[in-house]
Amino acid sequence: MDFNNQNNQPQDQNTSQYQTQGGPQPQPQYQGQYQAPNTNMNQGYTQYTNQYSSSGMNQNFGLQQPHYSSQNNFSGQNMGYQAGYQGNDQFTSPYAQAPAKPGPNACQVISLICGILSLICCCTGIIGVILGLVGTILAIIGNKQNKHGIGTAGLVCSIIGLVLAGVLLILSLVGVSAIPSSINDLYDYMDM
Amino acid sequence: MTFNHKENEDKQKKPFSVREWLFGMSFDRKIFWLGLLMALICGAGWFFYPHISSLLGITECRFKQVTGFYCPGCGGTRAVKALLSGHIIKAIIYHPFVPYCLFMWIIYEGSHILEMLHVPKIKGMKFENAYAYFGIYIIFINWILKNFILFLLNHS
Repeated sequence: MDFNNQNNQPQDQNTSQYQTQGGPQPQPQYQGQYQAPNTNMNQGYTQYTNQYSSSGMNQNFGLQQPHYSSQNNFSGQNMGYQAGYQGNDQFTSPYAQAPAKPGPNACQVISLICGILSLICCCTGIIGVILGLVGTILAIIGNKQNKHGIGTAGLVCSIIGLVLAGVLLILSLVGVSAIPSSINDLYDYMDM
Repeated sequence: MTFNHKENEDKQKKPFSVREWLFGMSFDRKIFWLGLLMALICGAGWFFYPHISSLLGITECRFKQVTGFYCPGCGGTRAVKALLSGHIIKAIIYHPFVPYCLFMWIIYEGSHILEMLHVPKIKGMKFENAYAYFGIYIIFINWILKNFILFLLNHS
């Protein structure tokens, strides 16, 4: 095996010459810029470019050297590494991917829109009730699939809009009217 | 390094699929199209509002007639009229949610349109939850504040 790549031959990227025993063997993809595979072994990788260098394979092969530098150009080989490498901060890859936080699903987004519209349109009565109901149902469905703040906000707004519109509808049907003619309106002052 | 020509050829030959286009785009781009749809609905609603209101008999806020307090949307119509007349400060005083929505819509949709037109160095705005939360806070704070001032006005 040509550990030092003395012949300067480009190596197949998926060569498993340097695999360690045991443990998972990830297959990182090298496309000009190294991206760490999304495994727990991520932290052992550093950035390296997909260039071929005859000197890159010398003592730094084991990735255990404390002076391992991201400037070293390694050939595009599937580097072996050892498990238990995770504690060393020098080798934390800047491209290690944190687990992605899931975004809101469609039900949650629509429930938020319906909730805000039901708040704004609660004075229309029946439209506010319908929007509030739809928003509440969609928020419950969406929150079951995925926990997200947008879903919670949609649920809260929909319930408040539903309650306000429902109270208005009931009071209108009962025939309650609270406005005496002498009451001041704030917007009359604003219109001046 | 080998190039997979067959994959590229397959991609070129694949017919356009609405379902793939709809579900394949990023979340921010989906919000962009949703914003356009909402603007269309609001525009249509504003256009037909004078005709609808006469049919439904809407003259004043029903919530205020019944309870004596403003609903969370009170002042919205006046804010839209003020914005259309160019009075931004008045629109903010009537209902701050309306100019906030308009401002965010212009910035968000504009950045995505510029990105789609491949304007250099312009990237579409990312949707943050804080934009929605801030809008909701504006609605509630405006509602509570206006009713508090109304209460003071009528009981002082």
